[in-house]
Amino acid sequence: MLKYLVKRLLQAVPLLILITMLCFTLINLAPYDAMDAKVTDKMTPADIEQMREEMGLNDPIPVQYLRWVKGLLQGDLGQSLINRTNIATDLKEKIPNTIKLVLPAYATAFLLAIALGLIAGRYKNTWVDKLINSTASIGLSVPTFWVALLFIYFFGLKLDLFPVMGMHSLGEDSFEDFLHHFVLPYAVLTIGFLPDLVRYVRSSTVTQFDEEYVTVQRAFGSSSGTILLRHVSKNVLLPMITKLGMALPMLVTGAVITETVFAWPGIGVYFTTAIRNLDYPVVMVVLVLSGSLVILGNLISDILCAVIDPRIRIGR
Amino acid sequence: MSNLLEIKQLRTSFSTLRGKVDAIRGVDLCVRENEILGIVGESGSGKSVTMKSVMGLLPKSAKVSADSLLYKGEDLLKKSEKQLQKYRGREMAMIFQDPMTALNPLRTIGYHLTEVIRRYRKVSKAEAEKIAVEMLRQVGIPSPEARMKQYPHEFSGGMRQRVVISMALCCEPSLLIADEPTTALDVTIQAQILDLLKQLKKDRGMSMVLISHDMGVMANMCDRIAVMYGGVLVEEGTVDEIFYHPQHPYTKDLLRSIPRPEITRGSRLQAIDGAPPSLHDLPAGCPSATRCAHATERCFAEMPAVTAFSATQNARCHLLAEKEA
Ligand SMILES: Nc1ncnc2c1ncn2[C@@H]1O[C@H](COP(=O)(O)OP(=O)(O)O)[C@@H](O)[C@H]1O
Ligand SMILES: [Mg+2]
Repeated sequence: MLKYLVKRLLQAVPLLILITMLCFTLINLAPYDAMDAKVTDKMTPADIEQMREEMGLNDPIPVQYLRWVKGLLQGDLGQSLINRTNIATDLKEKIPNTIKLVLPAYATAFLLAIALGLIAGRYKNTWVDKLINSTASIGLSVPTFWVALLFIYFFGLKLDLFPVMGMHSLGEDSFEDFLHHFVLPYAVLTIGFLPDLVRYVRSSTVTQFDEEYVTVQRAFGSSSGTILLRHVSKNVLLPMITKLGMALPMLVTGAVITETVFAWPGIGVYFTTAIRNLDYPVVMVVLVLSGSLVILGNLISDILCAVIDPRIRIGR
Repeated sequence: MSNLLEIKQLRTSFSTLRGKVDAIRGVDLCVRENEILGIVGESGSGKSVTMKSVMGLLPKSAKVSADSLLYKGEDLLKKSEKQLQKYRGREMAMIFQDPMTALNPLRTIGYHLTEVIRRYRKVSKAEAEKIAVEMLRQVGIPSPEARMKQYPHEFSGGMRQRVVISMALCCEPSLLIADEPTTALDVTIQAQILDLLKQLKKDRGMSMVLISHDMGVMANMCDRIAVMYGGVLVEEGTVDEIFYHPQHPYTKDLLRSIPRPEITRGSRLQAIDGAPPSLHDLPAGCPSATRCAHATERCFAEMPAVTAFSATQNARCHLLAEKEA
């Protein structure tokens, strides 16, 4: 097991390097650099050239890249060009806000999807299934921002039940106030996550019910309820673990749209603002972060599978 | 000997995207107490569907009808799905061709067995495990205690089929249906599994339906043989009658297709000419007419009636009926 772990971790390293290179190159290809944000009308071309030299922007690209990566490794993520704030400090503040929103929403969607998907798959082609499946299909094709606007209009403006902006009212810091702000974006996000997961669970349930072992179980007198609970569900849930790992990057980038619509002070808003302002050090860091989380998520889900699935369980 | 199972005019059809498929077209069959009945026929002739119809194991797209399906005198057609479930396992159990996919890959062998045992007997988990170990021993699995904790993928095909057989035995059924139980296995393993089945049948006095496309297997195992073709029973009789006095041309063809050690050298194995009919455009008449060397116009137009040759042997063929008359 340990050997496998080390091997997988080593495999992840070149991928991470690739991600940083890609981000850096792409951003450098953009017709814009750190200087443009600093230039003011009062500077002479000579001043500008001198500043470029000081900031190292005239060094060859590989040298710049290595300097940047070295910074990342030492925990120095650089500065925002616009706000002059430390990016690491910003992230420490924004990421927890995003997690507070995404984690409950994804967990809710995940559990709900398992229940709905198993029911729909078990009662395939009955009205229950048709209801669940077609609702999920519709949900899949409806954009999140539209649902968000709908919710804002009805629950926020018409019924005036919930606030539609931010995470706290000004000057308020209570948990109640947080919950009040939390309800709408949480609901929208859950609805956003749900359809894909439901359809995944349903189709894998349907596939499992077509397996020969189900017929064998029936031939030995199992009821389909027993088969669902004791045999099919386990086979359906195992691959769901993979889904969980893959969802890891969502903790950072899973709610960009929802956060933007509801002005939730998380990574999403931070990231979109940075893009709009061409705040390239921020954009690069967020890209690298979410890329690394994709790799880490895959790694975690592979390891979990290896621990749980008897067929690939290793080191025994 | 009385009849354990009596099938009268079984008809099974599937609704598919290409239309209705009549897979079974009026089969009469009975299984007696304490006998092994063989059902033989080419792949696609309806052997599995016949027995799955009886067990109620077909998918929802299947429509099963019959004049009656008597099991121990009770008509299974009149039972609800819930009542039928009580018959499955306890009264009649079925094992299948592919032992590789017959077990849940994520459950141990022990789990599979104890689940079945505790369904039928009020015993504690520990007692169920003891019974399960004993069952594994009976079907010839070495060091059964250790094997209980293992998963299906740690077993070979032959060993898995033994596990499935032991699951069936845990139910203590009166009728065991074995649907090509050895087709997916190596020849030497085949013989072992068949021996095991024969021994178990003898020890427990249960009846067995053995489905196979292999006439050689039939000769070794069965008391009586039913020959199926195109969803119709073309001939049935005792082993001796079928092997020494086959009546139906199709049965004779089947017998000629058995590889025989004494004639394999220098002569070629005889395949039956032509292909089985597609069930989508079945001929109105005898299903084997297109492949029969003696077929007349009547054979194509009209389904032959059953002609009896002895108390135990009968066949469906116009030519035979005309000869008898
Ligand atoms: N689920 C199904 N849907 C449609 N047709 C089926 C289905 N199962 C079996 N059949 C048809 O029934 C016929 C008999 O199948 P089967 O009983 O499995 O043959 P075999 O004699 O090889 O066991 C096949 O030709 C097949 O086309
Ligand atoms: Mg078959």
